[in-house]
Amino acid sequence: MSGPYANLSGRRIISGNIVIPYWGTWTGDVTIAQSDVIPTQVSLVIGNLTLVGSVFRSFTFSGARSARLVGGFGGWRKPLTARAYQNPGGLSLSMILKDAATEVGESVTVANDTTVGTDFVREAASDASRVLKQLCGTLWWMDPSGVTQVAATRPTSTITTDYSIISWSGARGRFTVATEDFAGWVPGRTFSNAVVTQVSTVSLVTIALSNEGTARVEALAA
Amino acid sequence: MSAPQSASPLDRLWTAFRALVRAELPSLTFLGIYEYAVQDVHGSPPNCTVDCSPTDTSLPLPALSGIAMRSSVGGVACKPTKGNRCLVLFLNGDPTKPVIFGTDPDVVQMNLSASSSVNIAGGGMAASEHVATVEAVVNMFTNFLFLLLSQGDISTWTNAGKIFYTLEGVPGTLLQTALNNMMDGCALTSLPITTGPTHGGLLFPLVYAKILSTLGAKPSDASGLLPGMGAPNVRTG
Repeated sequence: MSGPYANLSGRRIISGNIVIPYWGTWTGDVTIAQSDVIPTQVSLVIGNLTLVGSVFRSFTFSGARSARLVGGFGGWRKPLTARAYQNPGGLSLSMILKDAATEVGESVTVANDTTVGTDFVREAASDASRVLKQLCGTLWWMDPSGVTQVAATRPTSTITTDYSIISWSGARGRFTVATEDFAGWVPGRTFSNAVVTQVSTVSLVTIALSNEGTARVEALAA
Repeated sequence: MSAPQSASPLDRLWTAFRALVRAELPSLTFLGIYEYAVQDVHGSPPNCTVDCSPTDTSLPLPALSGIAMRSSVGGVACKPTKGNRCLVLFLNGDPTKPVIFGTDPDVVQMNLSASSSVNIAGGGMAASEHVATVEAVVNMFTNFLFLLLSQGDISTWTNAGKIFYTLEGVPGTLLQTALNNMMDGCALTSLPITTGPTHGGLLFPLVYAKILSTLGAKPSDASGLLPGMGAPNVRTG
């Protein structure tokens, strides 16, 4: 790993808040310790977690730059033109989605491809993600490499790396976790230990980066 | 009204709110009925498919090809005219199920069909005229041909005892009887055997004249028993 522990394409992050939901794409607000222009396409690095994203908005103030980041390549919010598909033999879901993804500069993987029918009418949309919603509903998410995954669930496996539960709100189902394995704490994974004996599935992750140099994971349990 | 205009991006709050609402209604566009213009038609009813394009180019929908037609009236199938308008909708609001649901009335071809019968009511009354006349007419002529065949050699038809037997001024008794039997149940009274108009050298009695006058009058007949234009049964059964 090169660069600071938390960096934006090599630029040290002095504070930030990254949200990784179960469905959809991750977003993050970060402040870096320099004011120079940052590229539109960036890599957000926090320990062993690397997220490929694009800059939605950024401004410079007092020698620092703040940026709002969105996972992927910024394509799903781009407009799409109307298009009609027809194949008497059947149209595959992956073909329609990959068409749209390619047109806006994203990439997509469909876990279980299906036939949607012999016709599909794609409306002209101000945001290409509308096609995702029409064909997949909410069942898609952005993986760390910037590839949109279409699947019924996220990968599920137990977190086995070391972590400490710093605080826990049973009523809110919210855990504050100290860990070096930021890549392991993603929605879909499960955890339990001697303190939290009930097996919980991570629903949403917030990574809080403070000015004091701390990095904490806040996990909402499903 | 054309497609709604999006809010100005200068209004972040309103733009974000609209995006949230639209995200929850991804199939909103496909709940509408849209006017398209027919560009080409393939096949014949009931299996026509249509190529069409939106008449309002500001709509967020593309031109369509090979779209099936679905009639709003059971039993009706048509072939629309190129250049005419048609209505496009999406079944169940599903973008994978576009259909043509209606067209301008001047079509190239229209089919009416039903598995049992097709009834057309007229005059604001309960009466109806049955349309299936071809089958009934063929049936009647078939029976008449059988009757003729039963009379043997045509040169003997005027002999005594034959159906067309007639002497000058004497009507074909057997023919009248046979025709009356064929129209049994038509609510025509049994006709007297009297001299009537002739046709083609054969003596056709008042039965023939009665048929002509009955067809000409086309009386309303809810029972379908009276021979009218389109009456399917000139005999019961």
